Amino acid sequence: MSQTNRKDGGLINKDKTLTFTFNGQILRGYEGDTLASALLANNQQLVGRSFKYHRPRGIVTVGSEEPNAIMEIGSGAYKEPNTRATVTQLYNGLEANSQNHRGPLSFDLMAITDFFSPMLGAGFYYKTFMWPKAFWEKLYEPAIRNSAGLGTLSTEPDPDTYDKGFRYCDILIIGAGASGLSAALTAASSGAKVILADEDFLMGGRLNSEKTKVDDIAGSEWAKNAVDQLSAMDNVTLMSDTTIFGVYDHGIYGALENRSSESRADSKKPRQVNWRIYAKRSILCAGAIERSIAFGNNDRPGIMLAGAVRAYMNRFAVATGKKVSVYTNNDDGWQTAKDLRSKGVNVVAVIDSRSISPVMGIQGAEIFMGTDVVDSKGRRALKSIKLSNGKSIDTDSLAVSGGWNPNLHLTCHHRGIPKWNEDIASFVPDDKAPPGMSVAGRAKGTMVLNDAIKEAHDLGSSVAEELGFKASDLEPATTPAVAYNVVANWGVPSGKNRAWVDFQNDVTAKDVKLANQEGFKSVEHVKRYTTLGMATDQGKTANVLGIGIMAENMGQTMQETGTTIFRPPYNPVAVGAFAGRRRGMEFYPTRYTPSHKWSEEQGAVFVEVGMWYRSQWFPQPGETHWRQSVDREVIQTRSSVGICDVTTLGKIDIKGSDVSEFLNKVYVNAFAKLPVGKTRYGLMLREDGMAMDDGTTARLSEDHFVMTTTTANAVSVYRHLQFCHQVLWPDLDVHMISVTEQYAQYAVAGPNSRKLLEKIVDSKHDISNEGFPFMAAGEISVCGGVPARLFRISFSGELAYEIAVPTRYGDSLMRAMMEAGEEFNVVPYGTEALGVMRIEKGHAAGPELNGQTSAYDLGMGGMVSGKKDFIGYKLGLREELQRSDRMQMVGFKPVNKSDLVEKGFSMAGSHLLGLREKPTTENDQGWISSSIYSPMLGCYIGLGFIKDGLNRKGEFVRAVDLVRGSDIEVEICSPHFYDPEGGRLRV
Amino acid sequence: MSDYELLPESPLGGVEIELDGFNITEVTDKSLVMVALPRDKFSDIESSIDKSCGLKLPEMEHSTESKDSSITLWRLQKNQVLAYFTYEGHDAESHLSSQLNAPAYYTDQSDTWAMIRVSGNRSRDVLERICPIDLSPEVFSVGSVSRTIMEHIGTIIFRDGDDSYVLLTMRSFGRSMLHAIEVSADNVL
Repeated sequence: MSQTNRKDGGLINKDKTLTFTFNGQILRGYEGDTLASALLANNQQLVGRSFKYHRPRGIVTVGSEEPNAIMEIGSGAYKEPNTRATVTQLYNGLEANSQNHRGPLSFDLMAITDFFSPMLGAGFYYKTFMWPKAFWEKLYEPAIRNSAGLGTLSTEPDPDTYDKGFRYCDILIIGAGASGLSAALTAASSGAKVILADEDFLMGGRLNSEKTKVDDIAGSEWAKNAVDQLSAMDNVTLMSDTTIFGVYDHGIYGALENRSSESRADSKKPRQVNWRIYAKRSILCAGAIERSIAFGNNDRPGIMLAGAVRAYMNRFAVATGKKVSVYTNNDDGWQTAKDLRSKGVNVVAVIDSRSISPVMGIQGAEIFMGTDVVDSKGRRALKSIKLSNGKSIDTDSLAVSGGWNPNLHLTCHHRGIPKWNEDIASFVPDDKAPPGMSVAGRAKGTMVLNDAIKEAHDLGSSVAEELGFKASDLEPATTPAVAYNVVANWGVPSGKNRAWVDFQNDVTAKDVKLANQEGFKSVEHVKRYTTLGMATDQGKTANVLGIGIMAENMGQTMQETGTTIFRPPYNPVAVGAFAGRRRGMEFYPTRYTPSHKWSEEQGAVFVEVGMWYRSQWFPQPGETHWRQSVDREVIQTRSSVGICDVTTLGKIDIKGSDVSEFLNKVYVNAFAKLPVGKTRYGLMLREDGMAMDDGTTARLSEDHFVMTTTTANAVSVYRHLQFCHQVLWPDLDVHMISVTEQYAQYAVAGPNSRKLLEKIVDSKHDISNEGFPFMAAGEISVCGGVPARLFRISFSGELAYEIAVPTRYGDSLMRAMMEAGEEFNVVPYGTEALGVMRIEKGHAAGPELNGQTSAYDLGMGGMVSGKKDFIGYKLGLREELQRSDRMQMVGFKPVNKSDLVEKGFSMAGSHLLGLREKPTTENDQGWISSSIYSPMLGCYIGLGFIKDGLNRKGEFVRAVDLVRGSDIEVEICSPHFYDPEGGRLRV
Repeated sequence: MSDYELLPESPLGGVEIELDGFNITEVTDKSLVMVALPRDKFSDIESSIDKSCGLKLPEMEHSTESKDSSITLWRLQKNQVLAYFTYEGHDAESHLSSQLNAPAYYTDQSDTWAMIRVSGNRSRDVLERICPIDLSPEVFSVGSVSRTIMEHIGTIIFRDGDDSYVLLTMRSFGRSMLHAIEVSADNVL
């Protein structure tokens, strides 16, 4: 017989039955249930095993503060551990499994740890498993890891998608209970833009769980009407099933919206949306969370918080037991007895620790005033309790209320420290809430509902007014005022039994006492030593109780003892929600070059260069190894002609009357008198004298220059120039903008490059050696009038040009040049061949410009002007940078030409040592920064840095790579391996 | 004389996608030219563009239109404006220069940007998944323009109609930007 605990009424829809499983057992519930309410309806009291001691545990609360009912929901890749059953909306086909047990839930083999509990008290890690030292790695750690943890991951990639979003509002109202709805009604009436968020899928807060009447109708009915009213307003956005999980800077709030029902219906929809809400003001109406009382064996399945017990009855029509008892220190606990009795449930006892008259009569219940519960029996389900007067009571459901704590978590996110309020025996927010946030209702400590509603109602108006809006003259809702009377009770000594404080982390009152005894007096220390409040629930039901016990132990006041700091996220947030779309190809954007489509057609192999996809090499049919392609591209380019897409290199257009002076200050070499129609290589330093970037700058007219940078530094050099312009020399007439993307740019290199280009460049332009000599630059036209720019510069060392056209023509130009070059067997070449050729020529690039090398180290000391000031000049004069024996860039070639050829890897990364020295850091003389196989020299070569390199050409040293296992003799030589005179450039 | 003819291509091949209350269209008929405003020529430029085209320099994050509505100026920086105008030739720089007749520096940016128009009554619902700035109609009015970052891509956003926005990203990012908009539409609609 299913749902034996189900009663009439509630806010669930009995017309819609849902089927779900728990540990493989098929159970039923209704639409509107949570997983927890459905389990209780089916009398499933045992829902999990505790973290450390594997004690049987049951559902304790009805909200996101739940410490025990954390389960694995879903199966396969969808499995999500540590999900709180109390806030999981029931759906058809839900699969739930309990966590943290070996063997069946009812007979957990790991429960043996409960018997070792005397050894496993607070801080036990620091006291055990320390000896013998050798046992830690092989025995203790694996054993602890094996038994540690809550829940298991599927270890498969998350098949769900997540999204992010951005919303703006004037007022964010956090919590849609009586207070939140009241504040929203007035705030929204003013025309202010309001977002109202609630973590529950049904707005209304505790109004849905109580029998309170508001404006003479059922509280839940009043809530529904308010929600309907708000949803019809254009200036209101309602976000249910949305947790405001963090208060960040500048009025920014993190909000996690659960859309899992939508993603179950359509797997392409995101299951959660992580919103960033920008709010000018916020009103926190998060209500209050009930706390427990610590007594011996207070953690048995069937012992729950009193507010939760009546919530299960009132909202979900579930009786938590057949013989219910109540243990309380405040008036509110009595309401549970009353509500259950009114639904025909047998209430056997009400135990109130206060020595006062009974708050009300409860038919059929024994009343005990000035009495405590001291013990309980029933390992897998509560059977009976024992009172301080010696009496035992048979009961299968104990509703405990130790009082209510204002839910002030969010007020602490900017390090706010709550203050103790003696009247309500709880902590309330202090005045230092995050900027822009006000608090109303029970979250503020206003425990009487009628007062809370009025307070929130008024606050909605006043906050709107602060922002320049005028609220309508509305009447606040009213409800019969019910006083909240409480006397703090942290529990009685439990003798040889254990009284539980933090259920999720299995921390007892004895652990807290032990910590205090061992000298941990600060609440921060006690938290970490005992792990109280450090579980996924952040101790929402445990912290205040723990602080109460501490205060008693140490003879302090609650205020003196204080609290620890609540931090975001309020509830656990899946990492996927923070990642959003950043997975796979969308981890970051992809940038495609103008020749990408054409290159794909050629079957090019691509390489990621930052976000760019660049062609790395172009394999031809028959080639099986990349070296075949790269060697071919190099040989073919050097013997005839090759084309390479160099669009990705930074291009900065600079115009103005002071540009040459500006460039003179940023480059080490002279630019002030660069003639129109010429381009010049430039080296740029950081302020500290280290090389930052290099490139070429062309002067296209008197006041028009174009600078190039390396691909990697395109953005940082632009930023640097902007800094120089805006901050250092704002009076220079200089205007710049990036044109990296404005032009498709191709290197055309090789002895036949001019012949190829003569077929592309319009004939009115003379690009002969005399008409367009080495380092010339100009604006021309190609292919019948298309505007273009031509630069005679060479990275490869061959006769070469770079040709640029507006990017709209980039694809077309590549195809035209390949056709024009057919008669010369033109070859497209990629970044590998590009790299081989520049290394053969000894050009410094990224690996050499690593931020540790000066102009002199790079062998470019001759370029540094002695006649002007430039960035890096002054600090470049420091003694250490002027030493002649610094690590300087030179070339390295193997003494034995065939070395490394069989191994098939280069010297890149090798360190340089003397011929007979041990490979230690003390003997390290330098390193190889770039190395490739040179088809032109028929062996591996390298560029690198070695101490006093410039004076050691002809010497022999060793290149040692301990990672890949090579150790070869090399000769120090000039870095210009191929055509060192540069004759090929100038033909 | 060259035997070859170069054919122009737009960054996204003229993509046009129609969804429920939301349309994505590549803008292919507009040019973009940066107009730098040297300090000592500032007032000359102001009067020149007024005289030639009836144009005023816009306030920051706003735009102005020429008398015949053919040229729009966007202000995102103090010392320059971006001119957004209907023109498809590759000589946009000289074309604009002759129209404005002002002593400014001009640099073509027409090929630098992929331009995507998103429009329809659901545009803001879709955009709020990727756009971190406030697009509420009363805050980001028609004619507003701003720089922001959407899905890690630097973007200029311009509201050119009640329910119409033009998003500009650097050309090479175009495909990634289009994808980001399409995913947003899939997630929301």
